[in-house]
Amino acid sequence: MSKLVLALFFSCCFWMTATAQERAITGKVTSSEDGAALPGVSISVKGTSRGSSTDGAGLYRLSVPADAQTLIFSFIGFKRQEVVIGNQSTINIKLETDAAQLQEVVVTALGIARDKKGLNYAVQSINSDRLNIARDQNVGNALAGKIAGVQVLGQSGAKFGTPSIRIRGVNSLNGDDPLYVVDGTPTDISAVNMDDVDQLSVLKGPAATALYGNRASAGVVVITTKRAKAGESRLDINHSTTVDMVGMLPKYQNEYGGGYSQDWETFQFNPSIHPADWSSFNGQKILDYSADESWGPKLDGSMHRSAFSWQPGAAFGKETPFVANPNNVRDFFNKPISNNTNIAFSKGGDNFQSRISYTHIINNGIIPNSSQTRDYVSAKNSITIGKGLTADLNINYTSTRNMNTPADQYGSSGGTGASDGFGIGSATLNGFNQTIGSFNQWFQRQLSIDDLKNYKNADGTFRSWNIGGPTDPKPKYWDSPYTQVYENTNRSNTDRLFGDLGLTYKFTGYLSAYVKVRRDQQNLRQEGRIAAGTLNEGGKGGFANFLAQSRENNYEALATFNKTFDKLSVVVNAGGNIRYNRMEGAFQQTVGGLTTPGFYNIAASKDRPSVSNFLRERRVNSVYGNFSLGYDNIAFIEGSVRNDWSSTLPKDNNSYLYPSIGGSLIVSELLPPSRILSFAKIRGSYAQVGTDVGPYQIYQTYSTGNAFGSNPTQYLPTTLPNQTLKPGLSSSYEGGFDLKFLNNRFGVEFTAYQTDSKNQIIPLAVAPTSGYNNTIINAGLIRTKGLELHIFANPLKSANGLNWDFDINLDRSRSKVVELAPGLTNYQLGSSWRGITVNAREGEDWGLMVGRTILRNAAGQPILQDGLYQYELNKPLGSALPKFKGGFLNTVTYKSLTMRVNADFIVGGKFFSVTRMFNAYSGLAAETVGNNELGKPLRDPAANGGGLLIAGVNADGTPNTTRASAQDLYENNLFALHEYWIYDKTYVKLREISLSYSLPKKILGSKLKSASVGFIARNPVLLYSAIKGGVDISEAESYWTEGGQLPPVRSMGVNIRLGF
Amino acid sequence: MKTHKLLVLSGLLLSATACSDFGDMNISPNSPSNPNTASILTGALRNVGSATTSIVPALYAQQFGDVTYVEESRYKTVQFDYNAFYTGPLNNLEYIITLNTNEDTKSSAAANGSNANQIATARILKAYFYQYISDRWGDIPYSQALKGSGNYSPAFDKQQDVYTSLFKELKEASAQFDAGKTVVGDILLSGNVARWKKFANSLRLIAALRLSKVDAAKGKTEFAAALADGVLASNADNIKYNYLADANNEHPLYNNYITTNRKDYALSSTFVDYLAKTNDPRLPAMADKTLTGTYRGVPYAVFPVTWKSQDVSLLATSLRQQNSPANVLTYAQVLFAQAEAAKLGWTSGDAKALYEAAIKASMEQYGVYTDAGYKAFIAQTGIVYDNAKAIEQIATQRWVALLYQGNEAWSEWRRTGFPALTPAAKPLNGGVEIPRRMAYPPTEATLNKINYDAVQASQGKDDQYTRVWWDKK
Repeated sequence: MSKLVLALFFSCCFWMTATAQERAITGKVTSSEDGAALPGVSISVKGTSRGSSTDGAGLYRLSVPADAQTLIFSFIGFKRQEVVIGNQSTINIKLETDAAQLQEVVVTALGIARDKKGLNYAVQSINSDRLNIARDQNVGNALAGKIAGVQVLGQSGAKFGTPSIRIRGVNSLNGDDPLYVVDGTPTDISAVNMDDVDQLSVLKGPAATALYGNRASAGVVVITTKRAKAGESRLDINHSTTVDMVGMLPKYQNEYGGGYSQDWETFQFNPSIHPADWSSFNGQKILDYSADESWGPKLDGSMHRSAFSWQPGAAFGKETPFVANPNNVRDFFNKPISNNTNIAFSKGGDNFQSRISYTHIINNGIIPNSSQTRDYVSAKNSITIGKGLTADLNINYTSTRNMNTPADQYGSSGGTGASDGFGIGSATLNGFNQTIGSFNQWFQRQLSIDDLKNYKNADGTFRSWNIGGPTDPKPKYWDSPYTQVYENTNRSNTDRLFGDLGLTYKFTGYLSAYVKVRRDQQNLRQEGRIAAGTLNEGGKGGFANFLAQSRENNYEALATFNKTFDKLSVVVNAGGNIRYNRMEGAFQQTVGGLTTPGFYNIAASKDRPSVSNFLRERRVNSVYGNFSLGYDNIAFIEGSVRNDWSSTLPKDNNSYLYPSIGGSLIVSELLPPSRILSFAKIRGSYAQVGTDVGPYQIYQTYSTGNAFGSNPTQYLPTTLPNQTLKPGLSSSYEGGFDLKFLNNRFGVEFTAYQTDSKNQIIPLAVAPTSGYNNTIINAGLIRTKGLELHIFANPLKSANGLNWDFDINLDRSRSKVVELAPGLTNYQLGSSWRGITVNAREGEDWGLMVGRTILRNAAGQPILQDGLYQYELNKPLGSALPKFKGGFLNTVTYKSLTMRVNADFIVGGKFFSVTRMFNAYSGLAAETVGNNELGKPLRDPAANGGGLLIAGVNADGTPNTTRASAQDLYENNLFALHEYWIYDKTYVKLREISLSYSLPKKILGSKLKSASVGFIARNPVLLYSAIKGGVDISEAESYWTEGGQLPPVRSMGVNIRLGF
Repeated sequence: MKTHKLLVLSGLLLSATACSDFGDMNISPNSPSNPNTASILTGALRNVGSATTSIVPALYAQQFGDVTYVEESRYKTVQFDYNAFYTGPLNNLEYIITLNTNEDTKSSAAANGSNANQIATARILKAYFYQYISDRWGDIPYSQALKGSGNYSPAFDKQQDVYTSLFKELKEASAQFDAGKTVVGDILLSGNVARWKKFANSLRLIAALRLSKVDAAKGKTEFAAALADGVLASNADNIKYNYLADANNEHPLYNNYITTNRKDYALSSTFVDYLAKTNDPRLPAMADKTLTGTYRGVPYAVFPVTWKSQDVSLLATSLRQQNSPANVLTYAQVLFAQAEAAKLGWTSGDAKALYEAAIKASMEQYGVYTDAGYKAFIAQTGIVYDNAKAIEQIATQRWVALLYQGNEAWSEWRRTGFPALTPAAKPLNGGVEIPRRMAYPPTEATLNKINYDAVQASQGKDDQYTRVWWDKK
């Protein structure tokens, strides 16, 4: 409120200075292209410091001295125009677009639209037509390959999740997601409606993000949504229908069926334990039904008793041929139809702009009975009252309903971690993993998916392919996957609302101020059910639910001074912000089963239910300011300073200040005009960004655990808090150049940077024998160096219609751990099967994997024992960081046809594949079958000439001559021999294709302004992958391991756009 | 004008203070800020059950075998994790001692028992866990461990020094109990001082016997001292961890057999065959029958498997109810130790009588004692006390008595070499013998490398075949 008073005070001062005028000039500024009114055009009197700018309707009013000669109209993206005043009192102007400038308006920190020319740091922005090529529903996925330095760590579309994004590689020890800011309001990427996005800018380094403060150290994605234009009245409909399908599955073998041994067992009738009428079964071939692997007998078509032939129903007692079902896994997945419809109304008048948009998305999953439905409603309104007071109200509401979001990762309880940011890791709540955790890890090749569909007996008990045995036909380790999808259901509903209410007052053409209140809040309701009689929850059923709310409020004020003094342009911003975050929730789960099967309620908990609630709060107060000076559009200098106070830091250290400074020079302005070099700029900057820490990491508290009877339990934390924490600080240098050639048809933007992150606050893993797993400390120094290259070109340009534009993005980023903390040289970032870890190690590249390697002699030959590998523990396995990565985005237009193709790629970097390891372990993988060089099966015992001869030497150095059977090798020897399951990440992926046809105006009639119809494809094909199929590392859940992922989803369909 | 400036200045100052003052916002409302030593003790004691029922050493000792996934009985895992002991019970017990020692906190801590009684209890439990860890891994972080920010890279102490300290700790702790308030939160022995003393002395007795090969002189002295201080004197004294009829506190094999229906472990053929051969009346009390009504141990470490869980003998149903107790230290164990000590000449006891008494105690413990059955059993060839084979006989019968106390069974096997066990046919750890220790967790190599390298230099290669100090050939 006090800011508003201050603003009014300033406005009074202004009125007093602006009195000695002699004539008034009014007029309207429009675009020569479409006649639309242009708001924000700056108008100045040549040779004076006097000026004004147009309002939302393109209208202006300016008082000029009597002797004023000429007015200058200038606006970003348009050619500057000088007009002789003469004796006119009304001057209406049409400004011509400037192709050289048109793409160069970028939204920078605090939503300030800037001419890219004057920026001294790298910002890359992308408009909606290039972002929303194939109607990916998620902004994150749609970014892949389109911005240099941005890495999308996507997950399978089957999970309906949102990807993680890394800007400029690993800019902190842990690697963090960027801050997403939509029209100035920080929110979550999942809340962004693609159809509302107008432009997206990625602010990569601290120089660009400094004004966003402590949350921006991992970069900022600034999204500007569509707004109505003055004089425009539109109704747009955008609809797409796609068919989704499994993109890829591992290569399975089809030679051997379920079991642990190739030898058939036969049913031995025993009257003391078997019903009398089973006597006729005596001697029938049976399997080891409790086995959930595929090392069994050869799929030779012989008649056998399947697991289902021991379960009630028509198949009971029947023998069936033992044959492969090559498509059994593929058959499980659906090919659902998904729809995405947006309708948007926008209208702008002289003093108002309004846009209302509604999107309905039904996304049916490839896993049966899974879906995500989303509704986005947004309204963007702006009303200008009188001379300069504008009120804005932006509201975005998203409702998301997830049905049975599938789990992934390892085993039946894998991948059940929290997906909502609240951190509740209950598998009962989030869903067990009885689908992909089975198919790629524990399954059999003879199973028919039709048999699995019948998952429940008439008496309500459950059926499975994996049972105890003929006399114990209950599920053993696995339920039918259909039991999971139809009985053990989970759902989550999220309502999210974000937006802002603001008042802007324009005191003069060059001084304005605004106050805004922003909010981003969400309510989450989640529940999970486990049916009694299914495997999990002890077979007794279970229920969990979780209710949570989060809220972020920002109170913001900013004053802007923007004026050009002859050749010198000056922009000064000063403001402050109060941010408050609150997160609270309550989680409940039954323990020991349900007292009444089918009654899914906490009241049905057999034992004392597990119940907890939490509240997390934090506040950050900030003041900040920046200035930028430009000289004659040739040289620019910019600086900023910000101070934050964080509630999460110790009181004595909770204030931190950080500056930035930079400059750029338009070299081409100093050179004689050239037909080849159209534009050249060099730029450089230095900036710092401070960081804080999450709440409650300063003071020691105790955790409470499960009670033992009536005795409560309490534990010391395993992470040691720290009362002497300091804010983290990263310092960054960056420099680069922008070049454009041949009348801007070809251009290059190059940036090199180095970021030193110091005093980062991390839960450093320490030797747990100290009593603690982690200690919260300010950790040493990690140095990230990188290069970014953006090439754009328009190689084909013709009047009769064939145009080709492309963008190539390339970047490389290396992060080195320079120092950690005294006495500590290793920071463990993660771990997986049997001790493989990923680490930040002093003196090494970040992301060093350490684990088991094959024991080798000095010449590098494996030293074998009994024909099998031996291993060494705790050896380096390479870094997870890619060597470089990038994207290739093409637009080809011919008359009314537009085709866009987007591909991205990664070269180098290692990852560990759990899918490949278990696919081989359980005998599902194609590599576990076939014949050796003698023509004998790999699976046969070595004694019979079967097995593999592994290249290597014996302990005495002689070449290995002992064969190992595939089962000994894959099921035992290679399990957790990490080196064997480490792969290169290298891939090239075609991400998006769209081909659209715009209907000619003459057939549209009077009502329809535009219409187009197109074909779209997402994830059409993985062109190259170093792991050679089966696994798509571009969709893995982490940067260093593929832990048992869901298959990638390929979508194809049609897109129709109508404009009225 | 001056007043204006003053106003502005004070306004700025005011706002700066307001900026940096957040009150109690950063104090977590989600977890208690004050410790409760009774709850901390209960939390630490919950680890006793999982320690004593640890399945991997029971597989090494061939009391149990893998039913389906024939892995740990073939020594698949090499590195084992002891970290949870340090960050869990040990650090929490250490904290109980701290809270009962510091002048600032000791009076409030005394609400849960006299300071001395709480400290003594915590020290005994610490010693229990440390011996457990050292018996598995050998040299371990001890004197430099649990220092928090004082030492993030604790060096390894030699097992010999750990043992020396453990004798001292157990002795001192046992003497430290006073007549003050009974300890609250003691779910193991309900704060019964007499039982804690017997527990501590019996732990010393067993620890002393561990030195039989490496330092018999010290072993003898410590053994005599422990015996004199009073050890478990009947099955009523047995130290048991009582599980509850509650899903969060259920017996581990109830969980494995019933709750998750996995049935991963059955009694091994080695174990069942031996009991069957010796007509041991404990067999029906220890093993379930198979579907066909026989006792059949799961063929030990045989791969690939050709049987199902229904075809082999699981641990007896009566021993694995949801709320069945798990044995931590028994009267039979104490008697076997005395029998062995007598045979070694450490005590003047009658080895034969003690050996027989131990068998009798074990039968009573399993509820199968009958005078006739017992007499017939101990009169059998091979069982009847034979002075020339006494160590083997004692060790073998102790191995039976220690069913599902796997860690102890494996330690005693390593020390005595009895019963004679045949290693797994195709070990998966690169070796050919039964493991003699566990390798350190990977965190030592990644987070404590200097000390890890040092301990490898002094103790030997960090694998499963470097013998711990007391495991002398």
